[in-house]
Amino acid sequence: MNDFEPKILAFLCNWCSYVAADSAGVARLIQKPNFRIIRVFCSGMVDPSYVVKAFSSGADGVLIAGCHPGDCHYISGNIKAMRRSFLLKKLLSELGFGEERFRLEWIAASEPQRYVKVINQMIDEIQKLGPNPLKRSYPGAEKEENSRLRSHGL
Amino acid sequence: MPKKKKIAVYAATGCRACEQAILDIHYQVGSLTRWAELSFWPYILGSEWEKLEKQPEIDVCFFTGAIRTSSDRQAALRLRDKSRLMIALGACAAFGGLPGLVNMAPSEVRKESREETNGPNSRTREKGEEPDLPRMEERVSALSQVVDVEYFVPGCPPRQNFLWAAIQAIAFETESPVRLSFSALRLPQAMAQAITSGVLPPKGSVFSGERAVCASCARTKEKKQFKEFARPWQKDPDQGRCLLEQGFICQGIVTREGCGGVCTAAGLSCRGCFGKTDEVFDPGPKMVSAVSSTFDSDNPIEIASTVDQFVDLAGTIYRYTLASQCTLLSSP
Amino acid sequence: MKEITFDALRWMEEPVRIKIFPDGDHPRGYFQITSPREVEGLCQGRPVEELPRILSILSPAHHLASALALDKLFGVEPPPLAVTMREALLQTLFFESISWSLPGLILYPPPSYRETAPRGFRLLLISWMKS
Repeated sequence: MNDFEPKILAFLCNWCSYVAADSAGVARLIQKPNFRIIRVFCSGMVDPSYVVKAFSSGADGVLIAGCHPGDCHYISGNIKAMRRSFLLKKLLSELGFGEERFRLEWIAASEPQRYVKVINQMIDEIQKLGPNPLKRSYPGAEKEENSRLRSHGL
Repeated sequence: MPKKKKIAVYAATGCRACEQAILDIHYQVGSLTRWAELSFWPYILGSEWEKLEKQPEIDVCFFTGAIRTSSDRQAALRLRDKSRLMIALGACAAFGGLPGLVNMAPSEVRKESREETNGPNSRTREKGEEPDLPRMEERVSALSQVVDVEYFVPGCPPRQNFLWAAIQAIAFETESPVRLSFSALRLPQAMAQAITSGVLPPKGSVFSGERAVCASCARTKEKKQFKEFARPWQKDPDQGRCLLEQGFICQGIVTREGCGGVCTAAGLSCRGCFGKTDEVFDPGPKMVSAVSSTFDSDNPIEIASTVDQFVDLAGTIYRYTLASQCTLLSSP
Repeated sequence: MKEITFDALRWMEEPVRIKIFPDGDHPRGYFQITSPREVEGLCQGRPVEELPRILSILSPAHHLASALALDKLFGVEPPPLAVTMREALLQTLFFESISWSLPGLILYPPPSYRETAPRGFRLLLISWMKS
């Protein structure tokens, strides 16, 4: 049996999806615990660098959840997030971070069930996919600490 | 008469253009031997490794080329032991360069070439005693991932002004009259001050500018929006306007300046051979964000079809920097 | 068994060493490239127009071979100025390798671009790409 427990990082927008997650907690809907939430003020605030940093630090999946198009508190922030997501998905899949590890979803404040469904589905799929490709050790991996620090410095 | 500094130049997996660039510094190369003694240079002098062992210490080592086989790694470690200062010359040594793209190649191709060299069917396994070839490593590394490096001179090949600045500042320690000219304009202030006053620049300095190439590019930047991505042969670039706005993928926005914007001046989009700027965490997502923001559309279907036209996104963005600046391919 | 090693050869594109085993009756010599560049892996998956730039880490023969390949791919004829430039590039290659001796230059005059273009470069490219 697969005893790997994935870690998903969820960027939730303050006005819609965070409220949905909160309501899901209050209503005691059943969710799997493998996620960590970061509250941002708009899904358009999530720079693709955050997503890449999440993966390079060991996250197994990343979710960005924002308001439905037309409902954004800042009018068009979620549209910007949507524009970035296509290229970002392409980049991630070319570098070996497959299809389901990164998702962009629209979740309204009144949809805690949808939030729970999305989270559980994502955790299930990533459990099947396996851990972050970077965590699989390969022979010849040396000086990991220094290589990461150096790759940040140059 | 001050003592001559000893210089070693070595190339691992590379094309030797960086070493030729040292010879290519116009007429100033004649003064090279006035202050320095070229003690170890296999490419030009044919020096053997024993010659290196006999020397007490090398002052400066210019190391070019990426680390691909075990002989490269050993050479790097030996030279690091012997040298006081180590300079990673060229994009291959500084960040992995073009050989670094092999880390992204399909694994069958890499396995096959490794087996040819290392495996039981390799051509060197004949009867009797046969010499071994050095083992090929699993992935290509930049020099900084193997040893400590003091200074970096990026570029493919490095530009003459920065190379001369590096040689003067580090190898000569400015005992010669300083002719830094226009390179000092682009170097970060701390480095330029250090060089002109005769001290060594801080460790880890990169001999290039600090801002992005856009600062030195001669094209005018107007409204940044394009509808369709264009490959270089699909469209004639308008010679006055920014290339990114016309749909070409120009990586000048995440690349260090200093080259003077020569590629964009000729009508070709920047390829990023100077590496990423300091402020950027990883050039990949930054390029993604910049290019996506210029899409002139709100419709997901249109955007999806535009994105489908991109060919080899990761290979384009990380063309010279895959080995050390792509955080998704190095271990966490 | 004795072994003679020439550790580094001058003016070689890749770090090369030569090992000779003077074995009495059967002396053997090995020409070893210690840092292959594996250009095949680099080129697979890249956009076609980048091929001349990627192969620029190799000798001019590969530049010309890639340019010819792109000509065939796009179905275009290069303008006469381009052909002259290619011919000049080809002559440098032959000068570099053969003309260290004057007899070599006389006995093996550099062929013209049009002769070698159809066959030779294709084979050159295939065999040298494997290195």
